[in-house]
Amino acid sequence: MTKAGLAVLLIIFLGTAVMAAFISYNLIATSSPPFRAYPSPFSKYVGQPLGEVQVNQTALASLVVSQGKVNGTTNNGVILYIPFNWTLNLTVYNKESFNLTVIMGDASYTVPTNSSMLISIPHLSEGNYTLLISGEDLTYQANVSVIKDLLSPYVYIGE
Amino acid sequence: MSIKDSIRLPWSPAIKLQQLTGKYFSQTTLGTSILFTAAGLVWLAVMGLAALFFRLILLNPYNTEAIAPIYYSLLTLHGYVAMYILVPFLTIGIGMYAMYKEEGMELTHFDLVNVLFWLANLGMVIALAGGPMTSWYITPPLGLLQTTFNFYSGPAIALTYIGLFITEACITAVAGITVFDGIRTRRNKGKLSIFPTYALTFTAMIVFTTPFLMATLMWYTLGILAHVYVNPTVAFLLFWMWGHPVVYFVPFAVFGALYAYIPKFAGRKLFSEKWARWNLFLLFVFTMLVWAHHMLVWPLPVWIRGFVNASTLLLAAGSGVTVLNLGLTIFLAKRYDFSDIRGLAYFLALLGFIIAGIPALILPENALNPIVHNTYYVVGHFHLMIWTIIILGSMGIIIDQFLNAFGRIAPLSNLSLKSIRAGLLLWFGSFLVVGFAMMAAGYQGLIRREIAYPVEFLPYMQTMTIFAWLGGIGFVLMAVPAFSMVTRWLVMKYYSGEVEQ
Repeated sequence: MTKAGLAVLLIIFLGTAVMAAFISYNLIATSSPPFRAYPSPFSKYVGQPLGEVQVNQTALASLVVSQGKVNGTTNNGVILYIPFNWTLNLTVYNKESFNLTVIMGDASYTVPTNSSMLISIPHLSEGNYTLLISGEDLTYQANVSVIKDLLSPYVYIGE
Repeated sequence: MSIKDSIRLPWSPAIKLQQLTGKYFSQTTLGTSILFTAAGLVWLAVMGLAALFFRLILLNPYNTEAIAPIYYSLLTLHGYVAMYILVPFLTIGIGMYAMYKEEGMELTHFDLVNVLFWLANLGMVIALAGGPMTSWYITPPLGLLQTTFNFYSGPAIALTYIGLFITEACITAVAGITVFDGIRTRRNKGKLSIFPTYALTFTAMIVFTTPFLMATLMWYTLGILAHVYVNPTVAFLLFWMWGHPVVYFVPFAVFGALYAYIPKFAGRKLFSEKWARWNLFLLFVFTMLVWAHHMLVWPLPVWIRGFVNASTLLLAAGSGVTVLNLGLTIFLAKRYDFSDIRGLAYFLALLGFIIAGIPALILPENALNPIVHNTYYVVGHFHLMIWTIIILGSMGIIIDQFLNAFGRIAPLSNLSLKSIRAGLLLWFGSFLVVGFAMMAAGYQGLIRREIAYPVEFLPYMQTMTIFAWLGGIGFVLMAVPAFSMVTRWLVMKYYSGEVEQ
């Protein structure tokens, strides 16, 4: 019996046990409703890359793909799950040479060319909201992905 | 006069060529295996230096776009060399050595293998000459973005694709020839011993999986040159059908060496040869069924998620059986021979594989992958694998290879042995720190491949950089004795008249 062998076996079994505990902690912390917040230390950084305020509740966004187009999201949008009573701030930067139309839920907004707009919708009720962006330019609407030198619109989402 | 006679004229190019190949091409199986592993070490030094330099760039959290071209060039060089040439070269070199040493199996197509070897290197140089900045963007995931090709397009990119295609085609051919020649020249009857069984199985895997990469590269070449539409989803799938198995080529070939030699250094039989042999099927099959775990942030159907989560855990179970088998072998032995540097290298490779493998269990979990996806956590995990089972495992085999080939004429001095031992330990210890610093930073949200990052992560970056450079010193401590051994061998051969003057 060697100490080196014992060390190897201990690392295998204890390591797996520690990892199982770590995985369980992350699973509970991210999926159980009473703790639906990023476990520390994530909460410290969430929101920072967007340059917005800290988010302390989970926001869910999912991409809808109909017609099998992933790259050019023609006829598709982003579904946002909004918790109760949230204020949604959408900042849309339009760097195109034409106006963009932003459709959020039932409302529609026009963002003029080379400008940005803050769309603020307070006190939302809980549920899924579809965010769609389209342009006045017909080629743009037909197939976003193939236009050369296109600068895609940037959308920042904050609480 | 027949044509055969005419080519024997002194000025005939055929004779000249024969002289050149006779003089410069390796004509033995052991020599050819060293050609591949030694070239692997040279490429390792090149890509390692690139990494050490871009780690210096990362010491500044406020990097701007001005430094981006240098950073991404170095990063491209680092990643491309590792995946496209270093890994297959080491696998093929280990495969050739295993079959030669354990079973006396030989290569027979020496000239062809040598030509393919140099062409593979040339292809890599062409690929990098196409512009590292362009290379970085040309394969998935960034190669999927249409905008990539708005910024980077034209013949230079096509050149890069073609260069990589040449490299991969040559590597696939050499891997096929190695397995084919080995089987043809086998004289022993009965079961193939465990080391060549593993090493040749995963050399053969190069032949099974690299064509998927070649198809992707050719598709993108046609996309650039002939404007053929590249379907991003299919291209991504094809890429990962090679891109995941490639990470197992060396580790699983090294498993064979661990199964064969750890029992020798422990002075007892392997705990279970049956486990080792049956496990091969699990490792071989499941290696090719897990690639979708790289796509967990894609809109995949639930059944694929379920399948890939389970298949990855089953593959992990296969690795678990391996380490348990080897761990029990050492545990049940009376002593383990750490005084032999090969024994030390194999032990550190095994230990590192366990330490690197366990933290990876979070990665394939569907619900948890987004926490660590594309962060330094992933980088820390797979680099720990590379630094231990791939590099240290290969080091054990390469030391054995060198001792076999050069040791009789140019044995390692005591100082060289001490230097290699210190190098192995320094390398292992330093990169353990780097790996865990990467994983800790990644868990806290440090995104990989970015030149600017939140300043809170600076201490982690400093730790990674300092210890990576220490690990680099460890490599030098191992490389210098190996280099001096080869030099001494050459000099001795030269003066004894065995090498043509």
